[in-house]
Amino acid sequence: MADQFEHLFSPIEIRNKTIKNRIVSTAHVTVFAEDGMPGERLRRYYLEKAKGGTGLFICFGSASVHPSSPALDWKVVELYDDRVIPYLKKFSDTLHEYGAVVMSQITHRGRRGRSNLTWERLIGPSAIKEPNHREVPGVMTPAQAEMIVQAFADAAMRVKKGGFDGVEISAAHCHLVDQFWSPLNNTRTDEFGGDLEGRLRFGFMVIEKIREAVGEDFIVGIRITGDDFIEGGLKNETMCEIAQRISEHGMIDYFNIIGGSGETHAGEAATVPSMNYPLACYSYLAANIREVVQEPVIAVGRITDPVIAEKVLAEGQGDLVAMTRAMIADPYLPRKAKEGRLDEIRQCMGYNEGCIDRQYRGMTIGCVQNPVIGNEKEWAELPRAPRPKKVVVVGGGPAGMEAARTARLRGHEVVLFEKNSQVGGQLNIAKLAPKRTDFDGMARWLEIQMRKLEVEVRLGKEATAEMVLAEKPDVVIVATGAVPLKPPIPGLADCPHAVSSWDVISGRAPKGERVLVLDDQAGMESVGAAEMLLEQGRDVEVISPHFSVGEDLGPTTKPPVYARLYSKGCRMQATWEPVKIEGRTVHFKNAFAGTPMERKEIDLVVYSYGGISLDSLARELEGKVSELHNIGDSYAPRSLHHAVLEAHKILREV
Amino acid sequence: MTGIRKIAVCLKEVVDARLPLQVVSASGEIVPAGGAGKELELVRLINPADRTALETAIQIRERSAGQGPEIGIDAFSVAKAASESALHYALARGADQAERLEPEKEGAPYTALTLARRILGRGYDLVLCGDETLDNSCAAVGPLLAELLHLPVATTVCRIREIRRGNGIMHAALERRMGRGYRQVVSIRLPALLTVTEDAAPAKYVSAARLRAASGIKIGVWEPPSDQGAEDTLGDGAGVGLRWAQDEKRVPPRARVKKKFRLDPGLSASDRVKMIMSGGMSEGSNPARTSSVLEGDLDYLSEQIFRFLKHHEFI
Repeated sequence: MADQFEHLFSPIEIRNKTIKNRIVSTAHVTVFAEDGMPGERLRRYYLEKAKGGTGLFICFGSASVHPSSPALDWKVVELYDDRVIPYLKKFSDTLHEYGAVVMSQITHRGRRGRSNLTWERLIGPSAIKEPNHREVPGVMTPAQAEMIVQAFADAAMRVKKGGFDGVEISAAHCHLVDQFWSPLNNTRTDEFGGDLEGRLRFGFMVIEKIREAVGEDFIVGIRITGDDFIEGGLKNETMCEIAQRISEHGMIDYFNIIGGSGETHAGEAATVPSMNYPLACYSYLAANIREVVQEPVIAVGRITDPVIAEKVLAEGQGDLVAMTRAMIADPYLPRKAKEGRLDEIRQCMGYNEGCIDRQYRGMTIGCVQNPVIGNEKEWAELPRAPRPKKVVVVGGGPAGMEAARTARLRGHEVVLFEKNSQVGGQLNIAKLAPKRTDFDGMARWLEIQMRKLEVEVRLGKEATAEMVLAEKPDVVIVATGAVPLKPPIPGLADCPHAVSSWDVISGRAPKGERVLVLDDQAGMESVGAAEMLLEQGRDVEVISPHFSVGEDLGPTTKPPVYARLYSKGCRMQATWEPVKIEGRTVHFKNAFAGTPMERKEIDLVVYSYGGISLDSLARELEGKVSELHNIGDSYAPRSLHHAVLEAHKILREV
Repeated sequence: MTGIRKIAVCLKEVVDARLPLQVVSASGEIVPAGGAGKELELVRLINPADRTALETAIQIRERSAGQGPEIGIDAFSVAKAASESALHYALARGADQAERLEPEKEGAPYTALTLARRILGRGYDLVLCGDETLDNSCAAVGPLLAELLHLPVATTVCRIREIRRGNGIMHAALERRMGRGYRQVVSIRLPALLTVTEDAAPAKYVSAARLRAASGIKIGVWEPPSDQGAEDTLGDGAGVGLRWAQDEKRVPPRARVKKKFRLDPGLSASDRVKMIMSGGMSEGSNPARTSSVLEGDLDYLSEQIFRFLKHHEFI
């Protein structure tokens, strides 16, 4: 099996440091830092990846080199105070123990952020606000430039004193260094602006000052975009030229190539490509830059399994591969791949709602598939139960399967009932929506795990209370899920041309040219149904009572979904509540002003109001079994993340 | 009017180190990656930067055509008998003479010494070398040779702006590649030695017929006199150069990019993102099976076809 991954598991040398394989965990924000320090939660988070065999760690996404970097919103590591050094030492010792090369990202976010947490004034190349955060920065003076350059060098030295092997300058996501590069953000006419040479000056000052400080035996890498996907911004051709000039400069040891840029909503979504994007979608950018530089290049972007990673390396698209989210879903991916245990790898599906989209909202990251992520300190070990029990799980959706898996790992005997002919639950519906096929991977992995763990799965049987009790269970887990909620909108119950978004996604949409989608669920259900109907050539309008259609979609999900909807001719209206349906007319009122609006000659109404719990079995079993847990949507319809984490949490205590 | 009469070009045939190779012994033996069982063969080619040096010489001659006697171009290669392909290529491309110089010993200082002995005193106005070779990247032969020939030298020349003659003196205005992407514009008095970068002049197509014809030409061989050791000629500098050459570190070559993809730079940012989201193709279509009909005037059509061919790397 090792031959299958001969590139992936071959070592590579970067500035006299030998990296044992080509697998990189790139810098990402976790929101785990405690008072700016990389404490125990962060250390334990990385420890599992080190045990899993990661070759190169670039830790601490967006770690600040200076207090004026507006980064409190993401609780990043603060590298501008010597008190961080002991934390770094403990951290690097931990990862070095497993043979990994350990680096830290260092950056200043410039205008990317808001100052209302730090109350430090923003600084940027020019007084141009970032479209994403919309705060105008002050124009950086040459003296301030010198100060920030020195701060970069001082931060790098702290990292070095902390026992790390190197630092990575973030000149991606439109942080301060690449803010200077882009003509959209830098309209200066002094030595830091003008032509490309002037715009690169600040970045080169940073590179030179860092190298001067850290000396020759320390890796200094750089993360750049290969195409910022911003109109008038830094295209691939420009970035190739910039990379070539940096390479010729001779002080950088590797290039780490992302796609997109953080400055716009669309660009930000592109930086962490979700399941809306194909696998290894930015390897072409890495390859183009690799053609013009001498140093190793890290290919980035949805490289989620070792087979894809090997292909990227074998085809020369990168010298290393970033498998960051892949190792959030499964920190032990490298080890499993090396040992040929491919079907045990829990593959990242690019959902993003559990990791990056939480971070962008200021919440600690996790993983919708892997409940341990972020809870390693408490949950990394899964102890066997003191006494094996008979556990009956009803429902083979994500909550039920995770419950069965966890129970079996703890040594319990497990029987799982699923009324359908296959497990998967709502995942089997979700995967049918456009660009959502990756959900299938999650169901597949859980099913494989249940098979390996010898969970007794009884398909095609809708469990009754009698059937459950006949098993003489010690513990019953009800995970029977939910069905679509039909909202009490007057006229909807009698409307012959109304269906739920679940019906549409399941392929049961009746005919009808003019479609109105009522989006209260605010997630993928309504927009997924809308897109399917658009693809069938229908005229579709989505109306939401919230501030926007798909209000709860994460920052990396909403832009690609919007891009497709608008490209396909969808119309979207926000802040309108449906009031009643009369024949083919749907009446609305404005959520704030109460003013009326109507849509006439509607052929099909699609309602998307989330689910309603199927909890009758749980109620029936109350008091009849010694231990009963109603979990997931059958407790209360919520997110996939809720379902999996709740199942795991409860079964740890059974 | 450049005033140049003769140009010497130094060439080397090298192993294509951009292919997967590995060093298998302490002596530095190079074999294809994967070893004997992989049925790979070492590919030998004219060192790319040297080919650019030759091309630069040809361009200088072409630019000065009709302004006086035609410039003579002589090509030299310090090489074993089995490595004459670079010289055959030079003849096919338009060099007037090609000569193989029998090497005394391996190493940049010895190569420079051999070249110097042959070139010195033969009246070349310009000596052109590649800035470095693919196989060991010493970048030392050019400067060493200039020293031995007592010529001024400009290294890493990426463009020759102009060669002019005034008051009986020839000057060349050059652009040199510096760090950080800077270019240095320098003026150098001729005769001089220039080392050129690989991209200084794009290589022109040489027809198969010319290559075949040239390959049949017997290459003249020059052997250096054996009365002088390298160290004696090069003095103290030779010791440094030799030690450095022996201590050089061989870095395994990098795999070549096998698949290239570039989005049409004319696409808008949002269209570029949409192309990536749909796997590099228009939504729901396979570009291999896509056809389109162009309509418009001749200029528009030719522009579109040119962009298509350029984008797909046909040209």
